[in-house]
Amino acid sequence: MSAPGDNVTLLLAQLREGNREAASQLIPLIYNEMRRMAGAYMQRERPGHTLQATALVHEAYMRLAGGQPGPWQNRAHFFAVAAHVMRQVLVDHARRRHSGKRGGGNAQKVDIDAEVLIGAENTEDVIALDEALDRLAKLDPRQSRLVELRFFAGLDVEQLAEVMDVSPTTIKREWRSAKAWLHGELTLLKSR
Amino acid sequence: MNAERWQQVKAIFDHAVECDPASRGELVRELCGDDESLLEQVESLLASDQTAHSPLPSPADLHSEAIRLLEAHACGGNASDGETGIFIGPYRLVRQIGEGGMGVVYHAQQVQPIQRDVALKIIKPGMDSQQVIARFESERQALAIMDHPNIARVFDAGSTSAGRPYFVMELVDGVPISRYCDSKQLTVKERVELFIQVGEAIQHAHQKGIIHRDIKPSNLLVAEQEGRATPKVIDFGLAKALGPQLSDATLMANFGAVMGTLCYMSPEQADSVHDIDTRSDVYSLGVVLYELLTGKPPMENESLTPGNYVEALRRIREEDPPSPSLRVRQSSTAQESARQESARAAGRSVKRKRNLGEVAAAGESVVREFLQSDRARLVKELRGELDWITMKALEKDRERRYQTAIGLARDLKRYLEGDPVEAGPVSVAYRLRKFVGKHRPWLAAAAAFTVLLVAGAVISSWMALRASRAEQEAHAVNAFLQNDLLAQASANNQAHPDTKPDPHLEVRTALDRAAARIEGKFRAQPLVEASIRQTIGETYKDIGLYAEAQRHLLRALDLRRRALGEQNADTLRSMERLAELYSLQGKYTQAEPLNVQLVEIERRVLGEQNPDTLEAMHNLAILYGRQNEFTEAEELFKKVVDGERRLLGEEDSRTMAARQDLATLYQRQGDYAKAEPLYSKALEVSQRVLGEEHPDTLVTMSGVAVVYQMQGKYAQAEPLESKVLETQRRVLGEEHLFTLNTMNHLASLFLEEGKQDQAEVLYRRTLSIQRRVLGEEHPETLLTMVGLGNVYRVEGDYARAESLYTKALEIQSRTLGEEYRDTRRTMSNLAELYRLQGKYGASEALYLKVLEMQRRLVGQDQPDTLATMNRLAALYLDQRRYAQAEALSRVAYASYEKTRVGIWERFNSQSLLGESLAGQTKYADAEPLLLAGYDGMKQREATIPAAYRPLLDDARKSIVQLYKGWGKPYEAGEWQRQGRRP
Repeated sequence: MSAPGDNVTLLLAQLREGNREAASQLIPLIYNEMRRMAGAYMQRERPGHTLQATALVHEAYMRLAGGQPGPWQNRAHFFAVAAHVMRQVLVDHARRRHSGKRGGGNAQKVDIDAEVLIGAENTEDVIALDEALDRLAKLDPRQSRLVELRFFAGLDVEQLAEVMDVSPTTIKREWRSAKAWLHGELTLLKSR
Repeated sequence: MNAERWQQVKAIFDHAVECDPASRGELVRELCGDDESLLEQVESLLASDQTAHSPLPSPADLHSEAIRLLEAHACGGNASDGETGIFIGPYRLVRQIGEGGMGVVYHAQQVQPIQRDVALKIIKPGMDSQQVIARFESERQALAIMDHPNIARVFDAGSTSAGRPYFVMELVDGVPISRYCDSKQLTVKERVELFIQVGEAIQHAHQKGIIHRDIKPSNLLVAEQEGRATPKVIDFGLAKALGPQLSDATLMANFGAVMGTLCYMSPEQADSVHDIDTRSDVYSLGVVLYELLTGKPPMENESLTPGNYVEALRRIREEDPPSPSLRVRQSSTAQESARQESARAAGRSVKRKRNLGEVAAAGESVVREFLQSDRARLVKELRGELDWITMKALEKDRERRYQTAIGLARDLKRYLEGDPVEAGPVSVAYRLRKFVGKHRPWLAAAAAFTVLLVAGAVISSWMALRASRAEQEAHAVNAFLQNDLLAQASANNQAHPDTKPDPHLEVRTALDRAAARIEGKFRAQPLVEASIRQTIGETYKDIGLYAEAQRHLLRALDLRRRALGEQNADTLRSMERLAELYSLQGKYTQAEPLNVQLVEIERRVLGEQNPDTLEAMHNLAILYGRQNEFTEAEELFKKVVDGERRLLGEEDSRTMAARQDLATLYQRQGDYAKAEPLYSKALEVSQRVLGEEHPDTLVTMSGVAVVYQMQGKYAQAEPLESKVLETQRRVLGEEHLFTLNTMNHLASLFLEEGKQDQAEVLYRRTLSIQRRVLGEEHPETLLTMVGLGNVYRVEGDYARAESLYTKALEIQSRTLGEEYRDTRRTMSNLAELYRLQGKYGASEALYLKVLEMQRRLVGQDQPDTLATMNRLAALYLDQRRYAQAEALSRVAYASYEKTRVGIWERFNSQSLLGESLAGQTKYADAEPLLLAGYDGMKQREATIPAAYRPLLDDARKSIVQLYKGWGKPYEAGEWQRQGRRP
């Protein structure tokens, strides 16, 4: 039997190859990690929202780093998976909304107001960003990873430096050119 | 681009951003060597880096949304897989139904001992769970005996495995009372009736010895039971259980939560002594009542930040808010002034709309009333009893407050039944004076949803629309769209000082989606389609998307004409709006017949002495004026001014506007002697009636400055316009459309005065604010861009001028259409630049294109058309194509003669005609034309825009040429010398 970490790596690779099934298997793993962290996922509220959401991922990691056995090889691995899963979840959600389709059954009733409010804003942005990121991955895989971690796992410069094992200066530099590049791509896309 | 190339680009980019911006361009060119495409790639990357407005979503937002989805996925996903889902104690979470300051609320199912649906609220961390539960237990008895149809029962409390307290309550399927009232467009009376039920419920709890302590709209949910609105008070007992006061640490962590509660908090709760009784709830009820009546609680949420928490508490204890009616009047004043500016933004003298009758006829909703400035009625309804009752509930000293919740409810009942109320006016008037004296600026606040909310709600209402069958319901949806949402989102509102305009224009997205869904939906209901199209079209118009607007307004008019006939009020409204739109776009030939027809019908149906007819006549007069049909325009204006003075009074805003527009007409004719006194009169009335610093007064003052400017009286124009700007900056803020407009105008004034440096600085500043506030593609931003281009053109920096013109032109053509006036003007500017650069072919092509459009759209004798003919004639002269120049300038000159306009262009055309004759050696015919032309221009030198001032010297040089060619060296020498004179 393979170690749980291998399994995650496998799933992650499949996810990168576009296997949606992998996402649905990864989500509970990520989610459980977060949930176990003192049920901290309940603490959201509007104003302090983002801060707490970011804190959540970190708490989740801290916990697993604190000796709890998990399927993660290391810190970087966990974040990579988390960011990628989150990206997938967001993009899927955006695509669904974009095409006007909704999930059946219960899902339809889930808090339509909130869904519409949040989704209306950046549905297209998310899809565009996702596509642009794919193109960036071909030019510079490391930058693409950086952006993914920044956008979807919410890491800041210091954290990125630590996870990607380079200096904060390098992160800042790479982030700036990546952002400018994406900016250009998205503007182009929108003007079409 | 491949990976290798990207590394190259990136490396140069990294260097470039590190170095001093001044030498950046040079460094980049050096590093790129002669690789043009590399240079281009790097520069485009740098440009993206420099742009403030990023199309990228914010990482923080994305990340938090991802978390949210993940949760939803985990909750919903588990359940649908047939697993047990997440349990909290014996409760299975079904889905999240809300989140508030204190925590997250779930719809949950209780399995044992009985099976039922409940609401489960999990409190966020920072509380000692055991203490919370202990406090809850102490009140459990009392809570259990509360039994009232308007109170949600609290069943249970416990602690999650992670140690966080939770509460289990009756599941209420409702929305906060304030939102309910707004979405249902309840009248004042209906709001008060609903509120009375709340008061009675609170009274019941008080009698059982329970104080709520946290009354606010989100704890007062309204559900519809058997078609009847039923309020339910939730969260009884929670505030007490959660403890007397939040520690500083929790305060910082849960700042939003505290603030959400803060503006409903009574003075005694804000006090450190914290001595609370049932009258604290009475105060909070007063705050809710205030919000239901005016749209906002007395103290604004947004003025509270963590830094001024202590300050906020002080204000709750000490400051008295304005009475509801005063608040409405204050916010409507601001709102109304905002409504006028789309007109001003689109063209200086376009008529303002203040059709109150139309607004009043359209509905009873309080929201609409105060949002759409039918303020008089709402203010009247609130003034007196409702003011007194609300203010009595909000007394700082609880001894002077209603002593019970039922006391407040009963007084409201008395009001509804027309009986004398217990509350009185005396202390109110006193406190109002005190307050207004102290807090003038703070009062200028108005209610608004965020644009984002608008987008969301529009979509929701469209869903509702799809589901509905009856035409009537569809009408209601449209009313909702129109009154609550799109009105909020329009340019007017976006430019409101308190609702920052949104450059991202989510409104637009919402509109586009809405528009896309109309097609084919209403074949059987043409009137519904018409009214929805009308709404959508008008909103497009308000946000400056004229092409889209035209499509919908045309269709609406067509549908209404066919279904209702010409004389119906709705058809007339459609005609009026469409005519306005054409006018805004500068499509006068299309606007005129519509306007003429409108006036005809209204005269016949309503009579001439009717405000609506006068309004239509006013619009037609403006249109005549724009087309240089001065006699007709003047005659019509005089009728309008007379009629409105008699009908509405000297000081009515419409009378003032008509007088001002008449002044503008004279000014366009160059008849400043007639224009000035009219403007002065308008300014005098405005200052007296509205006050020195009222936005309208400032607009009029700006108009006076324009008259001075047109006469070249810069010494008077500049200080006046500077004063306007200074006041607007102070009163409205620098990001307000009015202010930006003035900045733009002052910059053009500087340019004409030859103060290019000042002009450039001001244009740049304006541009950077507009880019941030309005976005890169807003019509006003583009005007500034062209203005800055003019500065560069005057300075001879043709390359920069060209890049600005081209950019503006590209955006204008795309967003406003090629035929829009601003677009045509930019084309003219660019064509003139090409002429100066010697790019004759490009210049001619562009001028011909502009001329064709102008002839077709605005007519031959129109100033813009004639000006183009002049410019084109000059271009032909540059190329020695004298016959063509003669033909053009002859037509133009004749047209100027006919209208007898005393503007400099007339003399320019005279001079050009002379020059083309001289070129064909017809010296004797040419001489008088050239001399008179030069003389006329010289006299009006100050009124020639700076960008065209070199034409004066061109006129002089052609006199020199005339005499040289004619063999009169003495005269030639004389004129030559004149040029050298300073």
